[in-house]
Amino acid sequence: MSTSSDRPLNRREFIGQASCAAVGSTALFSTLLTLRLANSLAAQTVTAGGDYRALVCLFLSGGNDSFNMLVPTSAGEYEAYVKVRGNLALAKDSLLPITPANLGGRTLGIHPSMPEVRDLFSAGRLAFVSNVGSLVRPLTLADYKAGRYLPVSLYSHADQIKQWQTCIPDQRTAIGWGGRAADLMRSLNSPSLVSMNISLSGQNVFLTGQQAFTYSVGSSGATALTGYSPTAVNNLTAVRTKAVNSIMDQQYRSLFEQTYAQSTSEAVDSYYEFSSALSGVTLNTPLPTGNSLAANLAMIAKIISANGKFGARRQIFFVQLGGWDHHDELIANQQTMLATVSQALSTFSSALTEIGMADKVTLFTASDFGRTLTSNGNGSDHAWGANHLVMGGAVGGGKVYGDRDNGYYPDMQKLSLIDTGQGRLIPGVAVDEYARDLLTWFGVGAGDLDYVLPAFSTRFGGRPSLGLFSASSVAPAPTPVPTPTPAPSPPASSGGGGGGGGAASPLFLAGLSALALLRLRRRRLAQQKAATPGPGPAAG
Amino acid sequence: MVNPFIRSVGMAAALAVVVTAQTVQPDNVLSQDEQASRFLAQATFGPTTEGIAELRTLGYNYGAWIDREIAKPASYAAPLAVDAKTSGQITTITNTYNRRARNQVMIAGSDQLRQRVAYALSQIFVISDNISAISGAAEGSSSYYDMLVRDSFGPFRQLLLDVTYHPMMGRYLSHYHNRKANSTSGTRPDENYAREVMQLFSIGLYQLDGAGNYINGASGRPLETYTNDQITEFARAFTGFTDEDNNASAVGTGSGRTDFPSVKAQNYTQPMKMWDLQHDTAVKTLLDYPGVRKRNLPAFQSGVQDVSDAIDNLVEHPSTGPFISRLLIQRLVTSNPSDGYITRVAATFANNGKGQRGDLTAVIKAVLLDPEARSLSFVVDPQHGKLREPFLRVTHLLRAFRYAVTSGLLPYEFSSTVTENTLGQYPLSSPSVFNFYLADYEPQGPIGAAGLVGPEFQILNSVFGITTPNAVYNLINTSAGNFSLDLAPQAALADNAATLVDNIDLLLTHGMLSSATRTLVINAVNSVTTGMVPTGSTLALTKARLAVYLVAMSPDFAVLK
Repeated sequence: MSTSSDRPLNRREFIGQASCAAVGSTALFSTLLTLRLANSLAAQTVTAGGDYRALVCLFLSGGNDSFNMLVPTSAGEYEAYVKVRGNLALAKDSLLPITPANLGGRTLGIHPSMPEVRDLFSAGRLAFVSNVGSLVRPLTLADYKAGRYLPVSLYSHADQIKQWQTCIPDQRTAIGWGGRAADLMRSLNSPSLVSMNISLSGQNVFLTGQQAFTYSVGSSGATALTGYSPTAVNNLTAVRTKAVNSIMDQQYRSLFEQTYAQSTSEAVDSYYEFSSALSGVTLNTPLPTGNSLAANLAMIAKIISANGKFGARRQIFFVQLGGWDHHDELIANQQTMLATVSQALSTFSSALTEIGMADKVTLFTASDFGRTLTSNGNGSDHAWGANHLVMGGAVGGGKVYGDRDNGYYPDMQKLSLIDTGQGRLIPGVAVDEYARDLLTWFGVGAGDLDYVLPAFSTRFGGRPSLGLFSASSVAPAPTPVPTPTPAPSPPASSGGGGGGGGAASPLFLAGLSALALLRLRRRRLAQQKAATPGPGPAAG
Repeated sequence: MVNPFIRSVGMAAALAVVVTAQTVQPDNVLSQDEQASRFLAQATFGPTTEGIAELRTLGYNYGAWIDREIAKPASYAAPLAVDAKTSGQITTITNTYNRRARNQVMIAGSDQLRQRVAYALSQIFVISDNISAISGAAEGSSSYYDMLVRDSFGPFRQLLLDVTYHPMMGRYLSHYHNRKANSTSGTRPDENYAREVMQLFSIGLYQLDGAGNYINGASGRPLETYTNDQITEFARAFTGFTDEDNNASAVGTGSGRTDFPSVKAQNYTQPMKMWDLQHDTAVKTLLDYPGVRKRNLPAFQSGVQDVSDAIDNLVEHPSTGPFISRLLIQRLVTSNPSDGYITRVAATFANNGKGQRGDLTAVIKAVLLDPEARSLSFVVDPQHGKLREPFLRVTHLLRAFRYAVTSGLLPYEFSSTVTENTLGQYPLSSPSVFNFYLADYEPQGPIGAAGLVGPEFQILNSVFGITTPNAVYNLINTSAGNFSLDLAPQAALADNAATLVDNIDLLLTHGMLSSATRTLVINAVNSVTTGMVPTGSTLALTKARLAVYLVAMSPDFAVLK
């Protein structure tokens, strides 16, 4: 049994150990990175200027059949598409035609259930990126056949999801590139219980950093702990609140108890800051009914509009929509689900315009993998390269980006060089390259790209940017700015016996929020104190 | 090393308060009753006073208790729903009634070990009522659960075969109506079931040694157990499943998956049948390993024979024992079993002592009776144990405190208080075939830093970290749907806070409540005054509810050690 955990570690200490441990376990690229992480992270990157930017990852979990989301329609290409897709091919006249500005007159069709996406594309607010997938390095069919440079466990859901979210395709790791970006940039934000990284879909690898953690909310925001109130005095709620705080603040020797106590405390405390920041925030943009993705994206828009209250200059969001593993009933299910996505994106775009943040937010899709072009009878199976979309005011919309040496969008008349069998396409664009454009716009400096996307320069450094964003929209070079500390408001005077009930005033919530922040700081200091080396308890 | 948190908050140092570093750890001096309670927390949906008494009468002989459980008749969920329909009380068996029926057998069934194992199996052989093909399939999902109940103590081979043939698994992983390749339409067999039966239900992605560790190849990387080409071979074996057998006539036509006999009546409960006209009869080459018997399937075998052989090829693979053993240990006992623990259980899987492979009765005994499950030395091992699943936190409370359900038809209804939206999980309602959490999930913080896993932490976040305690709060203080607790026996002890807390400790924390937490709860109870008592309650009941809530919230209860 490991001796390293015979005494408890606090969150901060564990980070130090984790980064040291990483040197041993990921020798391929981590050594330099780890040193940089430990010593100079905040020093190098990070943009200044008081601007705000957000990335939103929309993960279509299960593996979207994206060659029916974006279909070739030029003469010859459409016929080749029909031939390979068989009974999965969509009728040409049902598709929503587009002529991307950069394809030299080649035409494509968007899935018939996505008119809003077509409109966003035509308005220059949305672009596609074609044939993206996890790669260790640029790959040829000969490499594939020789078994060289392959991501681990190709075509497996869990592994390909991790690889999309980590950009580490040849190892299994649980630190995502959104998390590493936050490790790098979160010092731009004011200290807050509400992390820079926010998930509408619970824990995920993408947002998990070495240090950065994920704050989860639901589409209706945060929930208060029932029967708990930091300001209650002389009543049952006060007794309960004090006891819950005392229990959670203890130093537990069990790693499991420690982790549970810390997660629970942070969930309880962060509610007050979150609710305070969002109180009074409304959106007038109408939501499509019964569209959970639209509701989640609307909550993201609200959080973005409150960025000043969080002291946030950078935020990364994650939202997932499941159910894309269409081995069966592909045609019928995609019809409904792509409509959900399209309407939700349109709603989000309108909401961002309403709050004046259209140019400051970029949404991009991700998914486990593409699907086989060939049919299994009524659906398609797991594959590799896939089409994705990127939306936002800063995006060079109306185009289809991709492997420029091969015409951006694969020509289905010439698949033999990239088809590993059954229409499983070798990606023309690595997820890392897709991420590079997004991260560069977000403000990650070239010198730090290898931290966020491990060994990017070695693996893909020679390849040009996809050009998703115009140079002028890319965040300027960094100058770290001292992080302001929010002025602690005096605690609101007593009252509020039962927690959770009634609408609290913003001032009241702000007071609670300040209290909670103080409590968190005290707890962390205490944990640090407890974790300083000294005579430990007997080994277990 | 510079502390990044301190750097980022800057002024925090000014707030420094002197805190005495105290490390709280569980009480590991347990009475026989408390040890029995701990055992029942692993082996049932929660210890009860009566369950502890039963073990007492057995002289705390856990093996004898398991034998008694195995001998009990199984409780089945689907008949409860069907009876309600047959008797005219309901017109349609909806998903809600299926959930109530399953809740009833899980929480109230006298065959607790069998139910608990079936629930664990439902998190390995996952189907979910979050797709309409299952939620809308009458009593299909309950029938699937009942199949797990029936096979809980049987041969693993039978379990995997029954899982493969169940029409709900056929719908969930789409091998129902899987067809052989068709050169005219250009279609080929669906790979879905072929992939997941290997990755999730039997051998896993990487070759395992007897202790469940990856076997590395020359490159230093783990050796994969199969290639995509081998998936396509299995996919061809898993073709031809439908509702009618070879004697049926009237073949449908058209695209999609209609090249099968017309369906006479929707079948959601009986094993799927094999229609050989849509079964791929070419030669198939399956997995190779030392001692393999069923590697090459000859041409023109019947579909039934091909499926049987394919299942044999997987069941007999050397990785299957350690793979399944680890998952069962994780669900019942601890997230990070030692090499020795997995080795002992996997060896039992390989041979039950009578030369039989995959005897789940022997495997379950090996899991629950192992020193790593029973010895009290593990109680204070900081790496031992598991986060109690949210659903089990609820059932443990129900059973510990003599829950009542309002009377009526299929009354085991939690309403909106306890759902997948408040707990992050609900039986047979996983978001995908990968269950509510991955077996190798490494939570951020000390667990991940120690290189350990904590699957259940994947659903502990700032949403469920609040909504799960709130469900517990409602259950304790008012009700959760039709459920309420009977805390009268605890209220009767409330005059003496220590006695009250010790009673709760026996039932919820199995005697392992740390002395520090115990003191905090006692102090809280003692500070309740008559002026604080809510309308409709009494001082004693208020104290009892507070004490139960605080223990139920504590890390001491949240982590089963």
